Amino acid sequence: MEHPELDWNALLWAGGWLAAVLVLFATGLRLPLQTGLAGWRGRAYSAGVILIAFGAAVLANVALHLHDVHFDLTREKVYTPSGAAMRAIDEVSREVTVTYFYRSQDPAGRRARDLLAIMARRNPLLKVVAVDPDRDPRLAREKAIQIYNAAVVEAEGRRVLVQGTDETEIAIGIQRALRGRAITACFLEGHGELPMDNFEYHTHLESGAGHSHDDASSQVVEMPGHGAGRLRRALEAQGYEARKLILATEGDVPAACTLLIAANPRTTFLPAESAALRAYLRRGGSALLLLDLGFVLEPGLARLVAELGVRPEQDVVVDPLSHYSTNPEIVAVTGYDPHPVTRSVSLTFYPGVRSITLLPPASDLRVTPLLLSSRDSYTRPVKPVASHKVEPDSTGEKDAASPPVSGARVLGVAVEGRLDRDAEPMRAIVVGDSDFASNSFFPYMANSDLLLSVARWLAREERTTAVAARVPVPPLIALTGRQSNAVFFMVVVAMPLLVIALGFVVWWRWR
Amino acid sequence: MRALFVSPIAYAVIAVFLVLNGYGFAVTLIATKQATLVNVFFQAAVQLVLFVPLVTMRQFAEERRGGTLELLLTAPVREGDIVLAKFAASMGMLLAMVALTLVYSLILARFSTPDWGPIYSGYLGLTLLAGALVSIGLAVSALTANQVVAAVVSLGVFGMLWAIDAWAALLPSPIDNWVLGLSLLARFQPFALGAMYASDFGFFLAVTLLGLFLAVRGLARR
Repeated sequence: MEHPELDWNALLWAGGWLAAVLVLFATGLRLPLQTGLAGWRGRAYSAGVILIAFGAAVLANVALHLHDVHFDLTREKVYTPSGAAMRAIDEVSREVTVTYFYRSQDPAGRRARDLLAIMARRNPLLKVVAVDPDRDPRLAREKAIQIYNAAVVEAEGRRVLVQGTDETEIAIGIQRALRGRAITACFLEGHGELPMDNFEYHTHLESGAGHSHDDASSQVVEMPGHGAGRLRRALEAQGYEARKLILATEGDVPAACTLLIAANPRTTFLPAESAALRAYLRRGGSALLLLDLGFVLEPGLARLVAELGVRPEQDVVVDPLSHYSTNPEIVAVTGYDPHPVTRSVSLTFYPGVRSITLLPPASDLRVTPLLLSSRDSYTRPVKPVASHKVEPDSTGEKDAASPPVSGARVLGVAVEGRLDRDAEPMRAIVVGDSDFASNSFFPYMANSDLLLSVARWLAREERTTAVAARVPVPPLIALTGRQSNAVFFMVVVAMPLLVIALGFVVWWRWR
Repeated sequence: MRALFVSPIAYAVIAVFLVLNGYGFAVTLIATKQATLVNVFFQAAVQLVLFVPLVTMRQFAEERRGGTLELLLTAPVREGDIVLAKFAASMGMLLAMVALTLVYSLILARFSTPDWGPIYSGYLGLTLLAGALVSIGLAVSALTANQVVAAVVSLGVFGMLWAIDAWAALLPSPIDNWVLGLSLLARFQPFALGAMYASDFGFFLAVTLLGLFLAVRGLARR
């Protein structure tokens, strides 16, 4: 864990301060109590001396506060914010207010509050207000906060919501609130994608048999009442802007799009759209491609995705070992390989997810599998959505259903690097499912955590320094019932009685 | 010092202090199973706020009421020395009281491996807090001839300085920060947790020296 070095200059300064204060005190004690002055002159003298003493005390405290030194004596350095967080606070040059909502009974929340207080002492431009919503619901209502361990960072009219107890995340939130550039998430529309303005849920494919995410759902081209509004709201809470993007009419991905989200396209892209997407990634763009069951990639798009090192298969992953609820086609992922996106993500699940085959990517790209099903999983072919052939398929992308495959399957990948030598560094994430990002499944388990982490990574907002979240573990003590009783008797009864007995003896001898 | 320790009041105060802290320590330990003294430090700090007026109230007020203060001031010692001696006596008693709670850390060490850093800083914090409270108590005691008045005024000042952080939240910036800086609780808390600041150390020291200085000036009211 990274910690700032001891500031020897400040320590020396404190030593000098101590010497100066003691000298001042010794001098003050030598001032005459009585001057022989009568009446108001005498009172003015006394009042003047006392006022000067108060002034000296105030100035001494101000001086020490300006050169403060912090000592963290805890074994795990739990009250020392990470070096990365402190550096971020040092860089704060405009006023920032952090309102932290925590539950006062929660040790993690209290620790986060204390760390924020330390950060606030570091830079006077940072103001921290800690609020227990149970005790002060008014402020929680004012800030529209309904959860514990959430920080509302406000600076220059911008507002960023950070969830969690990790001070590094809050420091990043402060940076986000202060940064000049806006981060815009462009939601692709025009191909039946999940609309960003839609906040309805659980209306996507109701039938007598309940929800379906298999072959039947793959055939559905339009799914009104099923959107990505919750994802949009969550991104906006992070300080991102959201806008729609219809590539067919715009012709190109605007430069303002920090990241592009294609959530469940259902109808075939135009070749020009695929070309625009490729041009965007060559310019250093970031894309989140949620390619659900049955969607057939236009050959240009298939070529682009193949360059990224992936091929979405026409199948659905069935995982009898790791699934959500009782449906083995809702694949649950509990463990992840190390990657900034999945660093702090726990269980996520993917209703009706297609598998992804890894291909050799373009030479300057790095592909990292993010999401994998269990070893017991297998695939089952599904029929593709009817697509219009706009040019001969030369990529090997198969319209026909893939043959079944057993074993762990890749469900999502992260790609980073350059599409070709002259291109700018891009980032992309491809997942074989979009349902987990839809309003119906976004809030559950860690799906929202994963999607927000994906958005941060795509927007290049992930931590610059890798700092693992700390979970302080207080030293525990195990006492048997007999030991507990002995401790209680000793400290509550025996010790006070001993003191009283001693007092009695002393009194008896000195009476 | 001797006068304090031959008084049965001192032993009664210490015994009550130990019963309250011992109960808090044992119950917290059994309930949370955590080898820490953080709760004990906060309890002890609150009890210092309550008990210090009992210790300091009679230091000068009693002398003034009994007419022995004049005698003391005409002795060949300086006023500062008298105040420092009274301060040392009160601190001696309070430190003895606090030192007895070291048994708790020995119990923790017997059954676990406690984090000693916060324990050291907690005791340092209690010492500094006691110093500040005693000096204020002495200053108040030096101004009056009535022990009860001295105790009540001291308690009022301590209570105000302890809870002033709650008021600070109601004030506009930057006044809230200045007021918060006067809070004994806010200044003591980092010590109890093991996260010390030079500014908190300086605050307690400055308050202690200011209190002692005011106590010396208070003796001018002959």
